[in-house]
Amino acid sequence: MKDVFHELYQKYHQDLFQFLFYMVKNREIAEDLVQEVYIKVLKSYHSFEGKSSEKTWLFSVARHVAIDYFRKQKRKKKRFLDYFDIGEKAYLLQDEQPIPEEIAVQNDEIKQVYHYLGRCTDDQQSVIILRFIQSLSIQETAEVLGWSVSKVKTTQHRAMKALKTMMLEGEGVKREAK
Amino acid sequence: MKRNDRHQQQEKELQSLLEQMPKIQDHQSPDALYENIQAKLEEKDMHKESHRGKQKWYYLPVVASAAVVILVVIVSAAYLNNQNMYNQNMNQADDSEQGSVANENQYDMSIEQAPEEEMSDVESAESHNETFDSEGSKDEMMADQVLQSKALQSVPKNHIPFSFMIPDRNKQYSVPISFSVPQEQADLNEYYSNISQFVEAEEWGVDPSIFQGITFDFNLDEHTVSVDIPQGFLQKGGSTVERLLVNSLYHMMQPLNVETIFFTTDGNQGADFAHYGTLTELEVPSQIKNIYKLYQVSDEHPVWIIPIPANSDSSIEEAINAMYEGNENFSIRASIPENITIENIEESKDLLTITFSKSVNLTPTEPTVYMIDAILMTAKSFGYEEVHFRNANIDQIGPYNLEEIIQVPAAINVMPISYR
Repeated sequence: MKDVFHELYQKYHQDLFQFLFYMVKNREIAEDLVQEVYIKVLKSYHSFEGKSSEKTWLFSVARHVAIDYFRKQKRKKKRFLDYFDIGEKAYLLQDEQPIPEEIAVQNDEIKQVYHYLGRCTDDQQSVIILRFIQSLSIQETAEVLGWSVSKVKTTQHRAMKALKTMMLEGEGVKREAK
Repeated sequence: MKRNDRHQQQEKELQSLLEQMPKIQDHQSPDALYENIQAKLEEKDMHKESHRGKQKWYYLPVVASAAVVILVVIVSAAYLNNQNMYNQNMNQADDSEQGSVANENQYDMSIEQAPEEEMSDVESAESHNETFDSEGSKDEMMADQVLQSKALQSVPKNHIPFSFMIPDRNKQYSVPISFSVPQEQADLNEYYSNISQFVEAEEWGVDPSIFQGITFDFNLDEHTVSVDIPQGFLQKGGSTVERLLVNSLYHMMQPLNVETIFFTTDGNQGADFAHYGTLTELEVPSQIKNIYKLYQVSDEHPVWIIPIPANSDSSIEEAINAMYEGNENFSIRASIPENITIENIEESKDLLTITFSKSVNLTPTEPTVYMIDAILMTAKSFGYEEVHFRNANIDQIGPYNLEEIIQVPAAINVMPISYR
């Protein structure tokens, strides 16, 4: 099992970690989740017989792990909101993560993209990260997400449009404030 | 036009920004990471063990109460029966004559019923379906032992069984879906060249698109098939489609005793595979070892028993152990439930003997029938022809008489054929 782990680590670790990091926007959480990915992969590695590429399989597991994490967070948040009876005003509670070091040193535009990426839907976020940050092809992205190529294209188009709109509106707000 | 240009320009700028996002590195050392993972894996196993232990204790009072109820029912039924017998004996003087008439009636009935037994398994499966849909609770069904198996136990006379091997929605695994048709009606070229016409993709949770445009021309006497692939089809799908297609072809052709697959592209000899290169023919392996597990997209979709490829050098013990594991990421469930422990697996020639632990009590439920289906199919793929289950503690589950040695099925996931 150790050999399998080391081989996977060498080939894919930094890519998987980066993907998880951009999905959850928190280094510590990404560190935990990447462990979860290996646990799932090592447990079912024997049943993977190369029916899809190893790389897309690993990304697919990583995405499921991230989505599971989001679900758990949403459940926790809902319980909290229900408890304090502020469900309807939930939008007032933005859970902003501190900007990580790697992003903080970048120019404003990159910071903005990073910020608004987190406002996209989970699906849109997955497509954008896989396509442009991880540089996967449309076909590979479709394999990771278990979607058709055309669904990837449509989601990518909508995600880019949403991101562009948010950025333009964000700029507008800034200008008005000035 | 200008507005469109501006949009495209903005999108390009955004794409370039995304591509410039900084590379994020993980600073954990691989060894430390592996230690953490190993610790978590062990923790999970321990948790499972302790959970199993707890479950047993939790169920103890329930099992005890159920046993008491069953005993009361049996004792009172026996008592009432005795009472009736006693009354009958008292009231009926010519008891023996009546008895022989009853026996004759029984004999007549068994003769009348005989042709029904010859009814094809598909038909009987359908009629079971009707029983299930129309009336009667699940419990009644169980009592009547009409629990449905997914397997075709034996091929009806003059029928030919065949299977499609259709990728799941994630294109990770393939689902065998089988049919059995009367030989004189069977047109394999028609069936295989129009797979999507016979498959309810949405309803069944499968994706037959990899067969789009592919045509088949069988020559069963020569044990060959000619497969024609449209130009550009293999390049478009990439290596995933190629692997799925070859795997499907192997699984579909092997049961039909096809030994060689010839490839053509739009009628011209050979097909350009991305991974295999140009192929004019492919030999079908005589044995494909598989581990059968359950696949179900959601509660609204049917459960399928699907083969997961095993290594060619793996043993039947390894395969059966792997049947305890699922993979929730791909809707794959274990085919042997955790609490069914197997004490021993013995092989002798064509017979595989599986001995359950003495504490195991098989119940007549759907998961148990599917477990038996899956074990039989796994055994079949490893070359066994018969399976004997020991210590099952129940004589009949669905169509399976566990007191007897069971033949491996002819096919799995049998559906009635319908052309759309």
